[in-house]
Amino acid sequence: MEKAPFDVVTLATPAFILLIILEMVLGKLDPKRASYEPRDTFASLTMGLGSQVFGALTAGVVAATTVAVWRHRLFDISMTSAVAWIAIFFLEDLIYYWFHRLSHERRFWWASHVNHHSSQHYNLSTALRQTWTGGVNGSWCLWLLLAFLGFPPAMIFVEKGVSLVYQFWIHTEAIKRLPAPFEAVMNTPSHHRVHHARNPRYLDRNFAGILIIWDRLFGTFEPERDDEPCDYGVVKNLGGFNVFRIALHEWEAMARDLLRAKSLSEVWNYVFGPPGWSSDGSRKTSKDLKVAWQSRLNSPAGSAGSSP
Amino acid sequence: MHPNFLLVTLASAVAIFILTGLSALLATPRPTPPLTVDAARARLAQEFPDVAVSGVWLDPSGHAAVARASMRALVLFRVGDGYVARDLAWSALASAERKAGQVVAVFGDFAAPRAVFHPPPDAPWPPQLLPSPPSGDRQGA
Ligand SMILES: [Zn+2]
Ligand SMILES: [Zn+2]
Repeated sequence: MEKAPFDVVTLATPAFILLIILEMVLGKLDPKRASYEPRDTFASLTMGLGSQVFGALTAGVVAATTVAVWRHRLFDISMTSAVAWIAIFFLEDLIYYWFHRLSHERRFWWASHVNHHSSQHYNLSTALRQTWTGGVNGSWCLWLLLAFLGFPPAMIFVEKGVSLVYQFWIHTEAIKRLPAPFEAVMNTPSHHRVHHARNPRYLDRNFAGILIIWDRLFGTFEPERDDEPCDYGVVKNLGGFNVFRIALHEWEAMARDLLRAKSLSEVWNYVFGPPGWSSDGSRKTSKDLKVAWQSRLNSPAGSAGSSP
Repeated sequence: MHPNFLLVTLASAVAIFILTGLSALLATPRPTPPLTVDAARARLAQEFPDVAVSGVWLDPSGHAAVARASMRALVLFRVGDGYVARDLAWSALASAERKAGQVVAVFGDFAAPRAVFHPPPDAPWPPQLLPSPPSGDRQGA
């Protein structure tokens, strides 16, 4: 089967809208549980709509490539097999983990993903702050592995939709902690709050889609601490709500760096190095920020010291 | 492409305006009281943790602050119900022109192009900074 019988995300959209309204009302009743800033909300939702529109422009290429790869599949996997659905649930989620980790650790993919992290808020509208440029950075090729194994393209697209829908509800401060067995296995609001935080302790942690087990397995898990509230956003927060700046600012910064690059090695690092890499070391990567934070923790004499 | 793509897109656009209107109507942003010197220092310490600040100036709006760290100016400015920080050469900030009661600091950064200050008409520019307390009294973020 090559065509998905339904679009999971489109089907879930009315529920997204209803839940956002409910969260806004909850925020009105108890400001500690949710906060919305109108311009931030508008930007997040417009990014979501833009993502659908720009995604549609590349959807044909993605679908055609997936079908082409599936025609050279290793195995014949039936869409009616329960075992196949269980297998794709785990495999798709594992691919999502590595896609998401790549999207944080290499600038070329971070340039597309950064917009999802650019809000200083963490509410259900933040979940819809999605990329406009994800279709052109080639990250979708990671899912071709599933087609090559033999999972029908329709099955892959349904499972990707399921993952996206699951990740919607975890973008909330309204739910503090869920029962321990659930927190141990599943990605939850608490785990994903950590992922959206810019505190050095929390940077580049909890890349999970549906299952948090991958972070536990690959050493990127960080629990949320009551004594360190999440400070949402990116290391250098954005100075406005213009959606074009939100969508394109890292690409613009990369282009500017490339124009100044003095060697092939600099070109490589400005594109595929970690976000924050600079030839003169004047900027900080997540790793640098964590090391500096750790050394401040280890020297209680005080944080203030050098010039910028 | 989905046959109803245009319809879904239009419906989504309408939903965006309704949800944004609702968020304005319900007014649930975080409280953002005007900055105090202590609050500005705490935020600057968080944004520039390894930097020693020699003095701070508060914009009369309470929505922005400037600090000096050697030859750099550290700027904190409000965006929505949050704050954003950038730095620039002190000389660039000092030479920014005052126009219609405003001074604009330009960062050369597509993600955060500028911050606007409203110094009192009779106040000097660059602003006079309140000196930092002795290092023993300095509060980290
Ligand atoms: Zn992320
Ligand atoms: Zn997220």
